[in-house]
Amino acid sequence: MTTQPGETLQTLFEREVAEHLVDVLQLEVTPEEIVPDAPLFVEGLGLDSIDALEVALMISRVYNVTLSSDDPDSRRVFSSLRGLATHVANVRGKAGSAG
Amino acid sequence: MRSAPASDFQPETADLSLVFSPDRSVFSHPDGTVSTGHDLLRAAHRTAALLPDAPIVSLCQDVWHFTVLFLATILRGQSVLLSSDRTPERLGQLAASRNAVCVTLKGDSATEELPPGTLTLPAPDGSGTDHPDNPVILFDREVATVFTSGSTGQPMAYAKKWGALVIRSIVARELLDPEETASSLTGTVPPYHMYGFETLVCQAVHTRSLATTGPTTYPADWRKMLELTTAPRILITTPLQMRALLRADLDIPPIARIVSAAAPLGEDLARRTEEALHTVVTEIYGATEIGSIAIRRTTVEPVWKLYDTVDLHDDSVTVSAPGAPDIELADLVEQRDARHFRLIGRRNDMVKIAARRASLSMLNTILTNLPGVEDGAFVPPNTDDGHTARMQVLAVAPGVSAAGILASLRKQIDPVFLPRTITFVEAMPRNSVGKLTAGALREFATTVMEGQIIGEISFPADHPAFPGHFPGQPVVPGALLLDCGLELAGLNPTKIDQVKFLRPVRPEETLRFRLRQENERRTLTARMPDHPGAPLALRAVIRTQSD
Repeated sequence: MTTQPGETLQTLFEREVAEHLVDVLQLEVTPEEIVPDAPLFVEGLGLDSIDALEVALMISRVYNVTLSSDDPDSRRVFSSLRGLATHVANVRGKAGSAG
Repeated sequence: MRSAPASDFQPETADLSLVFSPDRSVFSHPDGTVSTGHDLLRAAHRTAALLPDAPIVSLCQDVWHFTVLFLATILRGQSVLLSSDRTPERLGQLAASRNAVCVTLKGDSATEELPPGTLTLPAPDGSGTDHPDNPVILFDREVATVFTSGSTGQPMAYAKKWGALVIRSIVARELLDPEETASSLTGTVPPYHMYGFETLVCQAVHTRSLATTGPTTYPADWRKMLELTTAPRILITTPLQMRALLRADLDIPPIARIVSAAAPLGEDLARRTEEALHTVVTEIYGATEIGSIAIRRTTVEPVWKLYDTVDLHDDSVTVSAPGAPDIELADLVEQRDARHFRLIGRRNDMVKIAARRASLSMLNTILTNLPGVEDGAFVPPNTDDGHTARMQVLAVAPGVSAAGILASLRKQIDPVFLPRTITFVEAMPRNSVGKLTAGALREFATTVMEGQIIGEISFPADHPAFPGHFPGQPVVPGALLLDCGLELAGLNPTKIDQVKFLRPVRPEETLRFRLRQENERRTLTARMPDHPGAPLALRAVIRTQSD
């Protein structure tokens, strides 16, 4: 998960999250077409608050990570595929080491 | 014929003070503190001193911020403009057209992008121990104007009088929270939409109710608000969010009652919610023009009960209520008696997504006015698909890119009505007089999106697959369904990228298969034409050897 910003290749985990995004939102792109650093909302895939809710449910179901507005990270979570994947990986990492 | 109100509530006895009974608790906050009516009044007086002498377009998303700004605007002698269209450009245009100022309060989680010229005032400050002035507001004073997209495409303005809002709050409270013990209200809906404005802001200000404040984006946010407030709890939400709450499967405190509005609530979702959360689901019927007017418990009664003081007349077409102009209902209703009615369907071409409304003809006019677009149409979502509702757009526009059209549409219409992409076609299926009928458009859209029909099948009740799958509850096994579809399509796949079984198929149910090929990607879908809206049962993305 140690990718540099600006890197355009998806990591394996980003690819996996991208597959779930395409599936849950029924996007008209293939997972590999989602640019990791591109914004998910408005200019990028054009997602909105309804999609945010769908994505939050998917992240909770698949990764057992609960998104909440209290989280200081919450603004960054939906900035890009990379932002989302990194957040999920970090929270899971913490949960793993704590348990 | 005007029917007599059934209630013995006397509207003229209503307390028209700015805040009802200010000694009580009015809001509970995410940090665990509570604001009384006096705190609210102090904060409103302080904010009022900073306001310009102009109407206010309120950008606040938080119900506490919103309420302070609303009352401050009234204290300033002005009124607040409410629009559920949150596009910064549109909010800026609305303010300009009414000589109003866009205002938000510091710390509000509002839109990242604010309209130009937005005034950001300090966060609400309710500190102090005095009892600030709590003036009685004149019944006929216009305190808010609500905007909604009319069928012409131009926003329509509906003025709300103080007395009318107070009376509606009082009659609504008796139906929403009928128990002796006052409930706390937690809302997942924004205060600038008529539903949230009436059911959270006005309830907190005009009745005994306490409302919870805080962010409302995620189910985890709703849980936090419910945890911070006191029982009995009422959750003010929408069908979309109710479904999300069930799917999130969170450990939440008991909810005595769930109130749903903004979109029709399916009986099945209402029942599942009542069972899973041990609660009562109440549905409100209303419209931006007139507010909430009727109520029912979805699982037990198909019939709606009119709020006291609200009446239907002129063959159930017109609604009247004290202090509000008569309005024509957007829905067809069938009256059962003076106080009860059944909903029959939509009267006009309005589409509704996520509590926002738009007229199809307006959307189509915007689309076909774009440079390079020769013809085209929006196709409203099929809400029976069980998926997030999305518009489809078909367009005849040689030489224009989908991204270009999307970018232009984004500037002019609310994002909830934006399609994922633009599907280009050679011609629209207009009839001999150039008219595009709803039926022809939907059939055409399905063919374009999912391909031509390749066949129909159904499985007889004595099919050998049923006894084991599952005993007593026969369902067509997914693998069998997929095999039949592949055979109809004449495909011998080497790789199936994605398969989704979206709905159980039972014996004798007809499946209509379609196949779409786009570059290397083949998509096989099966719909169930005998069900309302022909819901999807199967969707598979396939690659074959030759790809």
